[in-house]
Amino acid sequence: MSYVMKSILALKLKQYYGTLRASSSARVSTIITYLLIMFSAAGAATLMRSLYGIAGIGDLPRIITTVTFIFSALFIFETYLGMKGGITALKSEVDFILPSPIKPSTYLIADLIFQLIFLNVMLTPAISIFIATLLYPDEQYLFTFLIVYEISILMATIIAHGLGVLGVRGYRRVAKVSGWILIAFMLIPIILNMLNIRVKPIATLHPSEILARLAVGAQEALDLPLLTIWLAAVLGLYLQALRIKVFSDVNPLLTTGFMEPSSRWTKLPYLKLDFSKSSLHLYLIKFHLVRICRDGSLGASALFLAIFIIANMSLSKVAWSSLRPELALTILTALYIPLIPALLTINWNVVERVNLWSSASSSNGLRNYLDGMLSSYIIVSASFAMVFYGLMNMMIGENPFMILDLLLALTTSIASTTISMLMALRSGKPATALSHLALLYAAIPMAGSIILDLPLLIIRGLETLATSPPPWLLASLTAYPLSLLLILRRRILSASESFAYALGNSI
Amino acid sequence: MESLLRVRGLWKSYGETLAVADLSLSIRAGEIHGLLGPNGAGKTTVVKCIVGLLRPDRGEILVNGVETTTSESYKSLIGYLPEDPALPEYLTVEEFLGYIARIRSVKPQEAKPRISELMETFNLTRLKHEFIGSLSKGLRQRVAVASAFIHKPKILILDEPFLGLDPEGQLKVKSMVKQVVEDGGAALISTHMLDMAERFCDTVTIMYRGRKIIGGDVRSVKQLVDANSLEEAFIKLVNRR
Repeated sequence: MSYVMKSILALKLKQYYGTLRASSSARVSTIITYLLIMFSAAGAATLMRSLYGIAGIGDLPRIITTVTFIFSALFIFETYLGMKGGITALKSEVDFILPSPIKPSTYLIADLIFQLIFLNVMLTPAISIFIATLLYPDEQYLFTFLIVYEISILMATIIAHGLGVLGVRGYRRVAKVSGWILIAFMLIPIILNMLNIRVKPIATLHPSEILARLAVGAQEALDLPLLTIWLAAVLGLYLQALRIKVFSDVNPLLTTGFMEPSSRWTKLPYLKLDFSKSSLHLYLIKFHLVRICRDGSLGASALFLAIFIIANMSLSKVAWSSLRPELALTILTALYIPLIPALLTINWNVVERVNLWSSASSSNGLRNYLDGMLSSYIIVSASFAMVFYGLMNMMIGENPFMILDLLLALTTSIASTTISMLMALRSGKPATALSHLALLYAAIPMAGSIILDLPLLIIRGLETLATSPPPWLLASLTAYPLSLLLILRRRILSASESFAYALGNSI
Repeated sequence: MESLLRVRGLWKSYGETLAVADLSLSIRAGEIHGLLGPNGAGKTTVVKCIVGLLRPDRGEILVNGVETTTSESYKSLIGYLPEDPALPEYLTVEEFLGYIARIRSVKPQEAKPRISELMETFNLTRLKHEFIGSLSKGLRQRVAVASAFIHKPKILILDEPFLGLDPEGQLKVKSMVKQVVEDGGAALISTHMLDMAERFCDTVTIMYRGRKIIGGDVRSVKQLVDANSLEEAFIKLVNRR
C-alpha cells in the first residue's frame, strides 16, 4: 500500500470513527450500541426459529433460503449506495482531497478498503450472532459462513464502486438503470421463493444462492467454479473502474446515503406548499410531507419496506403450512414498521436539523414544528403499516382488515415515531445516515414499540379473544393508542425547549 | 428612554472553555448597536443566548422587559439572522418565506403582500419559484435576511448580516435596519467589520476573549482611548491587555 493510499485511508478512518477518540462516554455508548444490536440480532434469529420452525443445519433448505436473503440484501444495499454515488467520500474529502493531484485509482482502492472495514464494523457482529443463533446447535458452520460472507462484501463493494465510477464519468443514467436491473436480479430468488416456484438455472447460477450453499457447506459441484467466474467478472469491472482519469460530481455519500440529490427536487413540480391555506398544524403536516418527498426519504422508506414485504412473503411461504402465519405477520408488522420513522428521523437529522434556527427563534416555533412533524410521521408510518399488513394478509388469504391488527399498526406507528423523535431530540449531535448510531436509531424504536405493543400483541395471540373481542376490551384497546399518543406527544413538546438550547451548540 | 434589550452579567461556558464572562449591554429604542470583536470573541454566543438558542450559565437577558428564560413570548418581537444561516434547500424562495411567515404567526392575508414586498426589496421576485438549493451563497443570504423582516420585528438581532452580500445587498439591509429603528425599534448587529460598524452603528460593545472591553456611543469610545477610528481604538485596547 502506497504512502498516499495509507494517508487517505487513515484520514477516512479518523473522520468516520474520530468521535470515539473524543471522550470515554462516546466509547461506552458505542459498546452499548453494539450490545443492543447484538441482542436484537439474537432475538430476531430466535423469533425466526420459532415462527418459521428452523432448527439448525438439519433444516438445510430453510437455512439456505435465509442465508440467500442475507446475501441478496447485502448486494441490494450496496447496489443502492452505488446508484447514489458508491464512493464514500465525506464533504471535506470532496472539497480537499479530490481536487488534489492524487491518482483516482489510489483514492478508489483506499475507499474500497475503508468500505470493507466500515461494512465489517457495522454489520459483521450482528450478522454473526444472527447466523450463529439460527445455526444452533451447528455453530461450527459459522466460520465457513464468515469466509463466504467476506467474499460477498468484497463483491458488493466492488459493484457499488463500479456504479459510482459510471456516475462520476458522466453516465449517471446508465448507472441508475444498471443498478435497478441488479436490484431486480438480486430479488429473483426471493420472489421465486415467495411464489413457490423453483427454477433450476436460477438456483444454480444466482450468486446469492451459490454463496449461501457454500456458506453452510452444502455446495454443489458447479458452485465453486461459478463463484470464481462471478468474482472474476466483478474484479474485471473493478479493474476497468480503476482506469478512471478524473473525479467530478462525487457526492458525500456517508451523510446523504438515503436521500436524493437536490437536482431531483425540480422533478416533483406537482408538490406545492401553499402558505396561505389551512390551519398552522395542517400546513406544518403538509410541510413535512413535502420535505420527505422532496429529499427522497419517503422514496427510500418505500423501497426498504417493499424489500421487507417481498422478503417476508417469501419467508412466510417457507413455513406457513405448519405455523400460525397471521400471528407471524402481526409480529413482523410490529417489528418492521419502526424502521420507517427511524429512517425518516435519521434523514431529518442530516438535512433538517441545521435549518431549525428559524423555528427555534420564533415564539412556540419549535413546538409547532415538532407537533407537525409528529403527525406527519405517524400518518406516513401508519399508512405504510396498513399497506404492509394488508398486502401480507391478502397473500396468505387472511382477513386484512381485522380491527385488532389495524389498532396494532396504529400503536406501532405512534410508539416508534415518538421514540425515534425523542431519541433525536435528546441526542446532542446528529447521527449520519450510515453510522453505528444510525443502527441504534433503528434498534431502540423497534424494541420500545414492541414493549408498548405488548397489550395488543398478547390479546392478538389469544385466538378466540382476537377474532371476537368483547366490546369493553375493544374500547380499551382503541383508547390505548390514543392515550399513548397524548402522553408521548406531551413528552416531545416538553422536550422542545431543551432541544432549542441543544441546537445552539450544534448549529 | 426604556431599554428594548438589556443584558446583565451574562456568563456562558462550553465545558471548560469560557465563552462569555460577565457581559452587560443595553439597547434603547431607536438605536443600532454594534457587538464587535475579533473571531472567537464570544459575539455569536451572546447572540444565541439572546434569541434562545443557548441557555446562559448566569445572568439575565430582558427583551422589552421580559426575562428570556421565563417565557418564549419575547421571540415574536425579534427578527433573527444567524451567522452563515442554513436554509431548507428543498423549498423554493417563496415557499421558504411563506413558511417563516407561518411559524412567525403572520396572518396569511398579511403575509402575501409582505412576502411580495420583501422579494421586491431584495431582488428575489424573479427567483421566487427557484429551489434555495440552486441559489448562490449571496442570493441565499438575501433570502435569509428577508426572512428576518417578515413579521415586522421590533428588535433585530443580526449576526454578521453583510457576509456574502454584494454592495447593493448591503445597502438594502442597511436601509431596512434603519427603517425598523426609525419606527421605534432597535437593532443589535454582531460583526467583526469595525469600519462598517463605525459608520452604521450608534453605540457599540467591543468584546475580546469573552469579555467586554469597552462600550458606549461610537464617538465616546474613540475619545476614551484617543483614537481616530474604531479599528485604532480596538487595537489600542487589545494591546493594553
